[in-house]
Amino acid sequence: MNQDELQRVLWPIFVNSYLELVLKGFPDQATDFFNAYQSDHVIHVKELNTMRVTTQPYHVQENEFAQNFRTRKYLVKMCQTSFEIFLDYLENNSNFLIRLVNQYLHIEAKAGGFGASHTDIGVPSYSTYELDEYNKQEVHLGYMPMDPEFREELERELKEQDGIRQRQIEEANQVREIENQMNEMEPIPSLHQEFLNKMKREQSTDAPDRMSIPLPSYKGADVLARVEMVKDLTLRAELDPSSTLPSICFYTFFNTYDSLNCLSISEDTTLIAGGFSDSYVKIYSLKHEKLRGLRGLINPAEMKTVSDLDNAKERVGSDCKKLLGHSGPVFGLSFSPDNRYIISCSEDRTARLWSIDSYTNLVCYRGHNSPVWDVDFSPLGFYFVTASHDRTARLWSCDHIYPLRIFSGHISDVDTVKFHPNSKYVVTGSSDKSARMWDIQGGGCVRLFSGHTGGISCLCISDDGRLMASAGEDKSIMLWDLGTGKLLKKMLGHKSTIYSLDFSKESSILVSGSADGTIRIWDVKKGMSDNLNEDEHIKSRMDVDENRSLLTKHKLITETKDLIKTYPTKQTPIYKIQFSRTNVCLAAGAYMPTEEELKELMGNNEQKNT
Amino acid sequence: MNGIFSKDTIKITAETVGVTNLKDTVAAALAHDVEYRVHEIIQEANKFMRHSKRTRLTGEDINNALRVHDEWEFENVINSAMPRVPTDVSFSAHWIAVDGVQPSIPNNPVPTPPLEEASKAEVRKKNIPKSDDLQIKAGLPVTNNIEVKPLVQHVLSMEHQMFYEKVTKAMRSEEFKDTKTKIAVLHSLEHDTGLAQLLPYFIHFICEQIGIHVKKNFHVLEPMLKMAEALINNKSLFLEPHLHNLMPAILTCVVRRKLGLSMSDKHWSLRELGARILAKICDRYGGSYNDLQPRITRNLMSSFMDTSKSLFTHYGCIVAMGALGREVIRSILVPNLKTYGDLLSTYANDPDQIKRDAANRCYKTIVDILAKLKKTVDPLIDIELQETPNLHERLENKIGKFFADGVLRQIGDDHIIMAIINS
Repeated sequence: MNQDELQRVLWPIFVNSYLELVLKGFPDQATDFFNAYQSDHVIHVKELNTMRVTTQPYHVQENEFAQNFRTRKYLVKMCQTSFEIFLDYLENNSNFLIRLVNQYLHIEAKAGGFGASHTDIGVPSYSTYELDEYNKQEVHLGYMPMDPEFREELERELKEQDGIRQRQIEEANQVREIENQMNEMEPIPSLHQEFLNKMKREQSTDAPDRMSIPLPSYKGADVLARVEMVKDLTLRAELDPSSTLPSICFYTFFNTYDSLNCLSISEDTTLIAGGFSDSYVKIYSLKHEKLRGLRGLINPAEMKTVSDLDNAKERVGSDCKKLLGHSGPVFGLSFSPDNRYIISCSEDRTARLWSIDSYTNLVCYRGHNSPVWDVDFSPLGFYFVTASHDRTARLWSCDHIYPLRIFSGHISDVDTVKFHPNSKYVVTGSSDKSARMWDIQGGGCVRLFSGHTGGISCLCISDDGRLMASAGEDKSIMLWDLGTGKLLKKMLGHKSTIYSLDFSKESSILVSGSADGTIRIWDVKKGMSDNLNEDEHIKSRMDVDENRSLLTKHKLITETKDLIKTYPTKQTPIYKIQFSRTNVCLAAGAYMPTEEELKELMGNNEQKNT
Repeated sequence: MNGIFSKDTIKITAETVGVTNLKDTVAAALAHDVEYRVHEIIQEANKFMRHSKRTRLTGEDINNALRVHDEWEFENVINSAMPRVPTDVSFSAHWIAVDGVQPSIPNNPVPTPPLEEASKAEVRKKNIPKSDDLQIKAGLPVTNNIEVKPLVQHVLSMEHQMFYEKVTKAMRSEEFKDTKTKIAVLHSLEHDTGLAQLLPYFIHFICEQIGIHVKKNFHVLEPMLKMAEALINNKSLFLEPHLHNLMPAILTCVVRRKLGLSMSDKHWSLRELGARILAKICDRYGGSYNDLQPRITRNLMSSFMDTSKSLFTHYGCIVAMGALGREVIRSILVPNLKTYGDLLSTYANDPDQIKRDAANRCYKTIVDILAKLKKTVDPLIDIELQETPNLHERLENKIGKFFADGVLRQIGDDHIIMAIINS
């Protein structure tokens, strides 16, 4: 018990001793020291590789990893007895060690002990107290209230639709009666009732102030789009982890030759967009319809009716539309909630807004100083947020070419970003192994989630706005309570970096897609309890899990019990996975040819070239 | 301290850019710095790889990493030209799960039985005596310890049953309009991955149909053989446990005297198809099933040499032996040709036209098969040829005058003659 706890002290002492030697100008001694003790720290492979080449004082000065260790105190938790043993040892030893511990370590000793903590592996992070204080900031996670005028108009429209549908059924039944058919058509659910139920579900005490997110006034098209959403609500398949699992449709992309970087499917599941290394975006129809762009330049003043616009469009159209504008690989795509726009972001440090009606570029947003990794449209539209290599995330509104907010605080790349369903917050995931939640009104960080042992590459928030899942390079998925900022559980099973996550609409099921070419389905509730001490809970579950470990070819892979199902693909990493409004799961990825297939292709090409 | 780059590397590189007599200490420091920089760039490139959702690092990633560091001039150094690809990006959709179940379609990988399931089954087995123990403890009579196996080991899903119905119906149909369906069915049998459960039923169906129709209805036989061929070609199916059922049926189609009621000319091609399938089976399963090919050849051999059998049977044996490859031709066919030639020559003046034609066909086929021996020629054969006088005489001794004439007339290649003689 004590031994285990005391061993955690070794890693920060090892790193800081080495850095100290390098800084003082003893590179040879530093290397000897490194070679002698590196075998104790094999779990930190990435950091060891960085350390090995950091041999000059000025390297230490400019290295991100080294600076993290030198400027922040490394948190180690242990129980009181372990702490006393450690102090005893320090007193009998050199002053150097005491100085090092004082300067670079933050040891939290607790009488009862912490149990097997998992939140402090290899990351210089905040103390438990700091984190607790930090995560006490007030947040409003409830649903965004609807504009009363908009609601009134929507309800009117819904009632009208109900009337039309009712009449259709009555007519159909009359026909049936005439033909002496006994079975009457089943009564269909009332759209208006469905909407009222939804509003009832969404009532909560901690709803954000609607006025805090200014939006342009609504249009008639917005009302109709909402009606479609309510219709989908009546068609939704209710999923349940124990009985009803989702259907998953998979889109496999071929002949991409490693050039496809990202994929995104529109909310109404009619379009799929891909971002390519060759700096373009391609949009395909999922309904086998031809996509029609504009035939030439148009004068918006002459476009008075819908048919005017229709006439200005191509007669036949094509299967795929290519959007040209970026000058570097495209890394992120996001459709607007009304499916009329798409935002892309690129290595060329810009984000671009495109129209789906005309397939043309509307705006180019400059501001980031480095490649932009990810982008997400607000669920209310109008706003979007970008994540960049320059360690910031930025909030933009479609009608401004400069950012409205800059979210700064991560100490490495911001790799992924996602809006909270109520649009009041955004969450970011970073290579610094932490995730943060930011208030878009104030621009400050309101939650910090620390626990991953690798960079975070994807995030998702449940529809009710209470839960967040994060995953990435460490192959594990972590489930967080946004309200308290606490870790609820850790889900293990994937064998490679996880690229995409999504909750089902009722938040009972989580799906994940990974570079290991599998889709996995997780039970959100299982193994999660608020009453238990967080650490203890994880530990007990991990013990059970050991029995479930599967011995594969080379290494032991642990699966937690909440893994419901694993669906393999034919060597296709999953780039994107998301639930449609009717709870059908859609996933997409690019087929990865095997080495042999690749060689064959290369061979063929060479023959063609010669 | 030895890094990736030695001092000499640095010195030589320095000279290429015009810096001569670089000091040792400077070179050493530079070497370390270069290593650090390379590491830094690779780490940066790794980020680009990750965001491109790849697990392979490419030259493009390094380029992008360098661009972030504003080090443009390096670009040319590592700019390896990637071959351009003519085919455009395309995509396809398929269901990876329907209500939580992964369908067995070609787009999904072949399911591997999870280890867990296996271990669960074991646990279940182990638990059986335990429950018996409880029974004894509770004072209940123990009925028996014999494991009762269910009559059907697995229950076919509704989809599988429907698929089976469709397949068998289409394959039995003799109507011309079903030709397209048949092609589709055969394609599906050859390429679908989820057929393992249906395999025993299909094999049974094929054998049964051949058994019923071999006497009366010739037209069913060909689809059946094609079906067998498709199943053999399917890479995800394992036929070995069913071969003992399948082989007699196929052999029947090859060597039976009469196929169907009326003797149309099509039976020749049917025998050839059967022979091809036999050869395919031997090729695929001969490795793991050692006495498969010897048994077949023995069978063929005895029918072939049986003078009471009809010429149609003989023809089947001949094409089958021909399909089985050179080794069989050399060791089985050639040594027996002399005797067989005597038999065949008696038919030459037979009053029955059909018999004469059949004999003629057998004769031609044998000569054609002999031509296949050509590839066994070894480089020493020319020397051997020079040292062997009376080539034609020896050929006649080996395979008899009847076949020797044919070989000389139609092939006339000394190498083949030599190969025949050496057999």
